[in-house]
Amino acid sequence: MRQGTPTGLASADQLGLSLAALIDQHGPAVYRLARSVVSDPGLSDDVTQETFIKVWKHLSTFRGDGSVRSWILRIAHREATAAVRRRRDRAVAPDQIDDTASAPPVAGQVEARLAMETFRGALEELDELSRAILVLREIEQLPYEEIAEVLDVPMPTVKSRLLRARRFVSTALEEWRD
Amino acid sequence: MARHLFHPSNRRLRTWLDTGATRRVTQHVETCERCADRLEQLDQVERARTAGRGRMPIGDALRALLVTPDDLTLRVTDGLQTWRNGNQDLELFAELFSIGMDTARLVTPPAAPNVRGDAAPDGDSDPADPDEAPSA
Repeated sequence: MRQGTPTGLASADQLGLSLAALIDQHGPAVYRLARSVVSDPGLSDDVTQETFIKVWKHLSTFRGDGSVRSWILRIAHREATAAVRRRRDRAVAPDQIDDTASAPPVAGQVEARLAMETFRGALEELDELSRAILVLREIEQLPYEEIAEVLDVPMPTVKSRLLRARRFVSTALEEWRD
Repeated sequence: MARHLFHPSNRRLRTWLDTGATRRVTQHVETCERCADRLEQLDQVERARTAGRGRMPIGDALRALLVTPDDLTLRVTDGLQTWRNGNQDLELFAELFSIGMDTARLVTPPAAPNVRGDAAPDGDSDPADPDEAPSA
């Protein structure tokens, strides 16, 4: 579902958007983007909150040149990469990182759980940028131009990384039938 | 955008899609619009060939893996309210003693917890500083 906001408006206040509405509308996308970058669910929670603190601080200065969604996701991506950097600086051992699996789509099915773990492993092998591109395209359905804007990378980078990432993870989905 | 005199063959692009080899091709396709478009066409051919295998769509698999907590909105809203309350106190403190917000932060203990209950990091010393928040 597209959640872009009309462009060319002077400020977010004029859009009549309350922060609660923004959290409700864009919170899940922010969380998923954060999770794709940092992997850790708890840290993704923190990144989501920090993102909306920054959104709140700067809502009145939002120029409205682009979509609110792109603006928020750009902040979220910067917060997530900063969180990864901080975590690297603290040199957290891999076994300290919470990688608790989400519930599989059909609870109790061992095959589904194994297939999901295989898929998770394939995702983890991708670099952070490729994971973020994959999520923004495959879940949030953002157009290439908007992904390039959110992640601040050239369009060919978006396209090539997306195609390669799709090809790479699709092999891990061979055993995961819908 | 970089201009390239030479472009990889279709065979090399297909190999790159399958294996990611080589680094030189990677560097090329990440900066060449023409080859990124060619990759897309090659990928469409491959996807058409493998369609109907009953494989879980990538988007669905990602959604299942990156499931959003049910109470995310509530927790973020609560956490933000706590932060705003703490910030209002800090502003009052700074105004009362005629000191800057940075100084006020230094002389007061961190009060705003994040959603996990840890002390909130100081936003203004963050690399992704709000002052550098991307403008739309």
